[in-house]
Parts: sequence; C-alpha cells; structure tokens
Amino acid sequence: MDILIRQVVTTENDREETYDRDIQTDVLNLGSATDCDIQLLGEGLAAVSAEIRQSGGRFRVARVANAPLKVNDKLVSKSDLSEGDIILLADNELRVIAAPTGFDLAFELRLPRVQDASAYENAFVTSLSQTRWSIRRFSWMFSLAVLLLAAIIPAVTLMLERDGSKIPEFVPSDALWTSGPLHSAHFQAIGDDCSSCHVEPFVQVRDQACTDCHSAIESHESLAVLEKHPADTFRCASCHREHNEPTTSLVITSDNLCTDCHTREQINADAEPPLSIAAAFTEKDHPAFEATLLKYSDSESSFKPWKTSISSAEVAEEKSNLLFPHQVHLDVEQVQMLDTGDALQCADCHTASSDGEHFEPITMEGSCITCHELAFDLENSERQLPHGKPEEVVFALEGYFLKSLASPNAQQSREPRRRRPDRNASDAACTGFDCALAQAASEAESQFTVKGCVSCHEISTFEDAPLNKRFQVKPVSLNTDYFPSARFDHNSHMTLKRPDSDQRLSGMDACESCHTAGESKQSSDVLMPAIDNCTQCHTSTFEHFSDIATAPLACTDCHSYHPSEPVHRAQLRNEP
Amino acid sequence: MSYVSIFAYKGGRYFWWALFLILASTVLYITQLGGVQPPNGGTWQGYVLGTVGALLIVWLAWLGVRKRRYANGSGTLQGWTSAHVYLGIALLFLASLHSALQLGWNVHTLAYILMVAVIFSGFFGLYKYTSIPALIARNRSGLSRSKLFAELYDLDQEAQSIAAKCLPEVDESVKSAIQRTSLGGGVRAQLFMRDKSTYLEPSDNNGLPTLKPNLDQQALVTMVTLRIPQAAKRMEAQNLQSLLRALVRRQAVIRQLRRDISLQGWLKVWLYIHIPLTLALIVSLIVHIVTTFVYW
Repeated sequence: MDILIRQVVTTENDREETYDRDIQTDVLNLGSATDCDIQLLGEGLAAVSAEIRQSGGRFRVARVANAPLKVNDKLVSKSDLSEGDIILLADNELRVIAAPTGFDLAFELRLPRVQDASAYENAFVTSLSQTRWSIRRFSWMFSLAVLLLAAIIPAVTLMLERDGSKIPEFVPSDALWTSGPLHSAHFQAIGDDCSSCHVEPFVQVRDQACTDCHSAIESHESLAVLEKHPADTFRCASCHREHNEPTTSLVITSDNLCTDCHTREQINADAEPPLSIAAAFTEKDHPAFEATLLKYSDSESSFKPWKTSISSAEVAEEKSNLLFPHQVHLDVEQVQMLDTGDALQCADCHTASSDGEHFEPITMEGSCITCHELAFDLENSERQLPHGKPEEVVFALEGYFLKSLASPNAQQSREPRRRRPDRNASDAACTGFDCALAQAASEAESQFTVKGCVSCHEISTFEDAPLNKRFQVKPVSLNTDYFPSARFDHNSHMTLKRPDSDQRLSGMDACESCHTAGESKQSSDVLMPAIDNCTQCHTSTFEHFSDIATAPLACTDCHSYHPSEPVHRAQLRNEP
Repeated sequence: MSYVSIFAYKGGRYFWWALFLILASTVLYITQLGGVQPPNGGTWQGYVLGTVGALLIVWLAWLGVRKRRYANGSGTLQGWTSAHVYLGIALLFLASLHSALQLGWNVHTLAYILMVAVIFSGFFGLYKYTSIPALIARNRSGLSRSKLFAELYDLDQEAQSIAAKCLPEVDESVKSAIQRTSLGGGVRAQLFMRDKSTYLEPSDNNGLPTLKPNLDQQALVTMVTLRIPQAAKRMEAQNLQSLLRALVRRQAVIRQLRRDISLQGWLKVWLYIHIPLTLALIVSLIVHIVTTFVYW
C-alpha cells in the first residue's frame, strides 16, 4: 500500500506547518523503535505497538502486545479505519484523512508538543523481565518437576506394581522415598519391596514385620514389667533402626539401651523379679556379679543350677562331686609333667573353645588319665579298670582274679616275684574260685574306698548290696558357664597389665591374676572373680585424666539384650 | 541506605539470633551422640531440628515475599533482609544437623540439595547486592537510565538530521546504524553485553553499500572520521565534524546504557534461580515430610 503521512508541527508562534512523506509497505509499523515506519514515543509504547494492514478493501489497525491503542477515544485491540477516525497511541495522534490520488491511505500525524524521550527505552529489551525468562514460569516448571518426579510418578508406579504390572527400573519408584540404605542382609532378603515391612501407609512398622522372619529371637526377660509402664514399651524399631547410617550394624551399643530402665526405681519395683539397678560399670553403679553354680540333689541324683552373688561365693560352695584341689596340681613339688618334669599349666587341662569365652569340657580321658591311670595290679599295669561304670569295674576285677586264681595253672602264674605290702600272704597263697572272688571283692573295696576312684570321686557305699551294686560313684558335673548372661573374651585378656603393677602378664600368669587357682584347696571353691577385679582396668567411660587410664566398657560389650536362651532367673535366684 | 548495613542492622541483632539458633541446634545434635540411636532425622532431636528447619524455610520464604512487597517502605526492609540473610545461613546448619549428613539418592536429599542451592544462590545475590549498586552509580555518573535514553533519542535525531545534510551514502549509513543499533535483547545479550549492531557501509567504488558489523558503533565513527579529511567542501567537512561529535557522544551513551543493562541484569538474575528453587524446595519439603510418614 501507498501511505501518505502528513506530520503537523505546531511552531513556537502557534503556526502549523506540515511535512509530507510517503511510505510504501504492506504493514505499517507504529512504535518506539527506530526502524518503525512511524516512530512514536510515549508511556506504554513498545518497540512495535500497533500495525496497520489492508485486508480486502478496508484498512485495519491492530495493537501489538498490550499497547494502549485507542481509536476514537476507545481502547481497542483492533479496529477498521475510515476517514475521520483518530488513532491515539500514548499522546501521539493519527487522524485518517482522505487519501489524495495515488495513495491508498493518508494520515495526519500530530506528536505531543513535548516528546517523552525517556520512553525511548521501550524500543529496546532492557530488563530480564522482558525476556523469555520468567520467575513465575521457572517456579512452576521446577515445582511441577519436583512434584512429578518425587511424588506423583513414584506413587503411580507403586500402584501399578501392586496391581502386578512390570515397570522398568528407570521409572522413578517409591525407592526414591527411602530415607537411607537398608542393611545389606535385609536388602538381600527383601530388595526394594518397601511393603514387606511398611505394610500400611502412615502406620509405623509393626514388630510382626520383624518376627515374621526372626521368629527364634527371645524376648528380654523383663518385658513383662512394661505392661505396667506402657510409655516405656519398646518396638523392635525402637532399637533396631533401619535406613540409618552407618548401616554396618542395627544393634545399639549405647549404654542407654540398658540404663534407660535399669536405673529407674519405679520400674525396678514393679518388676518380678526386681531388675538389677545398673547405671554404669563401676563397683558402685553395677550389681555384684552373680555366678550360676551347680547344686547336687542326692534325692533326685541330679544337678540344678542356682545363682549367688560372687561376693558371697566364699561362703557358697559349688557341688560338682569331683574332688580336685587346684593347689596341689599347680604345685611343682607335688605334681609334674610326666615327660618334662615341669609344673602343670592351666592350658594343660583347660582348652579354650572357639568362642574365646568358654572351655572345652574336661574329661577323665582327655586330662586326668595321663597321670591317674586305672591300673590295679602292678604286675599287670596294662590291665586298666573301665572308667565311668562302677558295676563294670567289679565285673572286670572278678574276671581278672577268676582267670588268674581259679584256672588250673593259677598257682604257677600267681607266684609272686616279690611280696607286696598291700597283699596278705594268705591272699597270695590261696587259689580257687572262692579265693578269686574274695580277692576281687577286696580289690574293689580298696579301689572304691581307699586308693582308686575315691581319690577323685565321691562314693556312696551300700553295705548290704551285692558287690556289683555296693559302690555308687556320684555323678560329676563341671560348670561350663558361670555367667550365662555375660560375655567375656579370654583371648584378648591373655596378655594384660594391671594398673597397680608394671609387670605385663601373659599365659598362666594372666589366668592366675583373675582366677586364684593356686590357692584353691577345694573343688567347691568358686574361682570366678568379682566386679572389683574388672573395674581395676575397666569403667563405663574412658577416664583420660585420672591417674589410671581405663579401658571403657559399654553394657553391650558383656551383655546382650536378647538372651541366647530363655533363662528363668526367678527360679535360680538366691537359692542355697 | 547503605546496602552493607543489612549485616549490622540494629547492632547485628539477627546475627545473634542466627548464632543462637546454630548453637542451640548444635547442642541438640550433640545430645544424640552416644544416645540410643546414631544421629538421624528420626530421633526426637532430629524431629525437633526438622520441624524448626521446615518452619524456618516457610518463614524465610514468606519474608522474601514480604520484603519485596514493602520494597519502597521504611527501614523495616533492611530488617527483613538482615533477618532473611542471617537466618538463611542458620538454616544451612540446622538442616545439615537434621540430616546428620546422611545423603542418598532419594527425595529427602533432593530437599536438602534444593535448600543448599537456594541458600547459595542467595549468597550470590547478596554478593551482587553489595557490590553492584556502587558500580551502577559510577557507570551512570549520576544520571538515571531514562535520562540516558532520552539523551540517546535526542542524539539519534540530531545525528540523523545532520546526516541528512551530508552525502546520501553517509546519510544512509547513519540511518542504518541507528536502526540497527542493538542494545539489550535476550538474557545473554543483556548480561554479557553482546553487541549485534550492524550498519550499511558505503562502497568505495560507488557500488551498493554492504552490511557490516558495527561493534560499539566504532565502525560508523571510523567511517565518518575518515571522510572528514576527504571532504571536498568546507561545509561538508563542518557537517561531518558535527556528525562525528554527535556520534561519539552517542557511542558513549550507548556504552553506559549497555553496561547499565548488564549490571541491572546481574543484580536480578539470581532471583530467577533463587525464587523458583525456593518454590521447588517447598514442594519437595512437603514430599519429604509426607513420604517420611507414608513409610514410617
């Protein structure tokens, strides 16, 4: 189109002058930019504010963006133009006039007398808010992305998976909701199936989720008291907190595990049996050690465990039915090794178990027989009595003497090479069946009551019973665990130094520094140390600045919350 | 109002608040050590730290809205900004202690990372707020931006009217240079002062003019300068001289404006990260809290 622009300028003396120019264009641009066909400045006018186009035979003005376009004093977004119409952009006026010959359209342009030149800024994009960047748009984008990736997609994935659909791994799932890694053993067992423990949303994991697998776990004995103290009721997860780091262990090692209850008088009072009050590992704040000892009941011919405080262990006696003075065996003047002549060492009889705490059972065959042979006839020392079967002993003796004294050439074979002080001359002289039985009876009585079995065992004698039932050896039971509810590592104590001495102890010296075996004359002596033995080196806290540096011990270094087997302490406690 | 004084607002009142908050949460954190559980968001101390942290996030976000709403108001603006900065720093400690730095590939760590990003984008903004206003003032040499634009407009008009009196090729060059002057524009152009100005350079041998880059308007200025000694008439030389004066002044104004646009951009660009991330943080905070209790 061919457009005539007739600019009307009012001079200082109020005369009007006109300047004509013609523009040939398809679209007539109005705006503040220099490259607009008509450059107009004013408030709210952008680089391009309005466009005039020809469509059909008509001309139409349309605003661009939000420019304040007025046609005939009305704000419009577009308007058809006819002669006499006045377009107003800010204070710039365009009046449509009759187009002279050769022109399609003509305008009379009046600019305001004072141009607002500062509005020239609108011709340019000078602020970030005018660019495509938008805080509001970014906010929506980021927020929706978070909502979608972290919440909505995982939730949908979860629902689809519950319905049995297979969702590819890369799709965000509820694995993103984990608050930390699972313990590796649990991860191996359940993988990323959250619902195997988190059964119900918004409900804390129930103990059953644990005990479904860990069915063999024993409850802590004192849990019954918690019925009276529901606020102190524990869930498995109170102590075993999953998704927590470090993940190496789910077991609490803090002393609070124990002391939270074992320091509270009220809980103690309501517990049956009463709780041991323990606040720390010191003589004052920890109960005296209680040893589980063995008691023999003659009427029932069996052993029962019972407990007593170590501090009263000197009074208490353990009944194992074995006669064994440690003192004698450790005295090199009295007992020596057969091969070397050296004194016996603890380890010669006490072999540590693989757990480092306990010892392999001591047996006649394993420990005693090397010295305590069961020969009864010096002439025939290879003939040994059977161990552990008193009746067999009698039969063995009878058989032996019958063969040697009642056989046809008995006299010859029994001719003593020299007289033995323990045999009567008549014994040796006689032969025959009766003589043999008499010899057997005499030897049996001697073994059971004078020199053999009786040196280690307690024997019950029933005078009226036949010989094979006359002597009963009381059963022997050696205590294998004095402190079943505590742990102790012998290995790490096999070398030690007590704070009151400069000497480093190892081997048997280390054993004897806690177990005073060298002074024990009775097998009923309880050789377990009391707490003061431990507290010389160990207390709950590391006392760096005291005279003696202590090796700190946590409750869990010795104790477990879950007993390895149910122990009915009430039945054990404080019986004689 | 000095921008630096937000640090010392009312004797650094909020500094002490923040310090108290940091110390209190550290003490609370330490009470977990040696406790039944390792430090974690799930202990009672963790819940307390988390609750305070979440409230602090919401409050700080609201402070951000509030201080903008009263941006031209009284001295409270300073107070809000001071509180926003100091308590934002305290939040960094608080949330770190809440998490016990147990980070992983999960929505909880997402919230933590978003929070850290918000706070560090805030540090960037704080740095810009303290360093840029002085640069803006020095660059504008006391003039407002609209005054500079008004001057640019006048110089454009002046240069064009003088050029109209010069040789047609010069007139065409000047008109094209003015029409093709680039100022501002996209984000990169604004921030890094990218100048895409071009102009029509007259041909040496009466051919068609060619479109050449006109970086910093220097090509145009050089072209006009070189024509002065070649002017055939005295009047022509005088016109070129006047034209040159207007163009050089115009060049200086454009430089000032370009730098002003850039400085103003840097003053605000961090908000395009800070605010959207804050909203994303609030969403992820809600996700964090809800998912914590979905799988309690």
